[in-house]
Amino acid sequence: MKKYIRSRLIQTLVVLIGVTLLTFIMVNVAPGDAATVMTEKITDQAAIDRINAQLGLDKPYFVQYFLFLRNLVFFDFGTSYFKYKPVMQLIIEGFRVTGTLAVTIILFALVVGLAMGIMAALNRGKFWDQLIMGLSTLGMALPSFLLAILLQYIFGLKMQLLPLSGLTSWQGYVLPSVTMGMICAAEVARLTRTSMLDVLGQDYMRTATAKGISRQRIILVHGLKNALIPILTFLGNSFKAILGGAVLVETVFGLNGIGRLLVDAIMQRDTPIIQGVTVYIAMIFVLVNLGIDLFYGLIDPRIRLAKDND
Amino acid sequence: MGDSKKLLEVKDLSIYFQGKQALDRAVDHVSFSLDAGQTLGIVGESGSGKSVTALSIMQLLPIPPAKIDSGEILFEGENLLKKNARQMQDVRGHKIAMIFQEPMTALNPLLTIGEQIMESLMTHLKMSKDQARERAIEMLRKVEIKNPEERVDSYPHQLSGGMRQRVMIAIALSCDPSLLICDEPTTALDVTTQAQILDLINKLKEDFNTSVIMITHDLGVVSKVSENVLVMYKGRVVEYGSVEAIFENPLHPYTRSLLAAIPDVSNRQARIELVHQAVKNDDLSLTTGDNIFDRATYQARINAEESALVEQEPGHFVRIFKNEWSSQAQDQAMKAGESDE
Repeated sequence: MKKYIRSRLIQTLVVLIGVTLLTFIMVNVAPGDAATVMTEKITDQAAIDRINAQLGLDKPYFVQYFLFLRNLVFFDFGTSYFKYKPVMQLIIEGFRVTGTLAVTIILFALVVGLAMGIMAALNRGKFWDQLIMGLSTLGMALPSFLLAILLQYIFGLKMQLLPLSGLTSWQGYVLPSVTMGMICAAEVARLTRTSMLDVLGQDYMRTATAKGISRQRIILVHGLKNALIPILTFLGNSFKAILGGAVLVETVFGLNGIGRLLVDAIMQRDTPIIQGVTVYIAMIFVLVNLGIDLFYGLIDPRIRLAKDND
Repeated sequence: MGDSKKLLEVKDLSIYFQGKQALDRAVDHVSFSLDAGQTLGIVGESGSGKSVTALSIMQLLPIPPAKIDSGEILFEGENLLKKNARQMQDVRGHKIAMIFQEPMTALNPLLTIGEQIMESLMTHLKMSKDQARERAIEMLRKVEIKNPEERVDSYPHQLSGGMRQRVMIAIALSCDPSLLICDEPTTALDVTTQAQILDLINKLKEDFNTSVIMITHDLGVVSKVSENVLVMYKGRVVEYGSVEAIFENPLHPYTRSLLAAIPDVSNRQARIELVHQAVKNDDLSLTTGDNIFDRATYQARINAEESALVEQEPGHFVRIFKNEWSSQAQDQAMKAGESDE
């Protein structure tokens, strides 16, 4: 297992170099630059040159890239051109919001989705199954911004239970988490149902029943544990995607998360932020993927033992 | 338990499966009984209803599509069919345990074999984790698994098929059940392992003083372990009696054809006799011959005529047609002639 983790971390380095190089090229190839955005419509070449010199943008591209890489070793992504703050600090601030959001969304989806999926599987073809699968289809078809506005209208405007947007207290997290959580839960419920139905037909489930252990234990310990892998894969992927920035939800609910940070930076050609967030997202993907793999091993001894022999 | 007391009595059990075009009964008015400490072999081909009968005792049949039409299953005097799900939990794994055909898939791949043995101990005998673990190791030793202290933490995929079946036996016997149902326990194993597993079941049945129902399509297996035999064909009992009676004096043509199909090394036969045709191809009529059972003719008759299990010798029952009394007698005479040779 240690060997496996080590080789994964080496892979990470390769991924990081590739990802930063690609973003660097794309940011520079795309039309527009920071100086033009700053000076807006004034076309004073001297001013633009001065800004470029200040930001170090007058140097050759490869020098810029190597400077960036050198700083990366010290976790220094430079300073934002427009926000005048270290990029590292901006990412940490954004991560606090987005990270909290991601954890609550995944927990919501896990609890609600699993419960609904198991219930549907156990009542296959009956009323509850049909109701839950209907809701699940609706949840997957509904655009997140629409659901967000709907929830804002009901709980924020009409009932005045929760803040419409912004983050003055923890309550600000409730609506965005529920919005994305419900959409995630819809998919989790569907996956859980399929996976559980498959597991319920397995021989070892009959063995478990023949042992006379409680139905709860049969379903949760023998059934769910075996059904969990596809569900974890999906949740891991959703977790990565949200940590990389849930732009729509962050925008609708006025949260200053990673998603908004990145989109604003792209609009302004704020290269240090774009580079910084890209590195952050790449790291998140690698780490979460590693986490998912370790989780598989935790659940399934066949995976764990196979990796020991690698 | 007194010798006279029946451990298990199945009375007039009928089961059918819904959803098929014809409501063919999978189990058709089957009755048998089992004394404490005895072994009953249930023999029949695929589709004869032997596994369905066994699963119905444990109430492991999926209902629906299965439906129990009539009958009683009396275990220690109580009708199991009258028990609710919660009450059945206390019987399963505790009083009645079961071993299945496929050791490769019958164990949960994600739990250690120790955990899988300990579960029922902790549920039924209210053992603590440590006690249960100790008992699990002891059970692994009893089923002759080497290094039980290490093996208890192994996962099923680290064991061979024969070893997994031993683990299944350990699970089944861990709570000291009064009845062990073995549903083709050796079918999926290779021949040497088969013999070992049968010997083990035979030995442990004595050690644990357990009654056994051995379900198999292999009369060789039955002769090795059972005292009584129930031969089933298409959901019905066609012959029922002691092993000696069935093997030395098989009365039903189907039983005879099954017996003829056992390869006999001492006889140097060039070919093994066949039990002709699979269950479903009833419309094909196959040859006649001494030991060849003609399914089509038999099926036609069983549809048209009434038949009943009749006690031909003490304790030896055979299904015969109502108007066959005389021909049955002829048959007996012919049999006697054969044995003179």
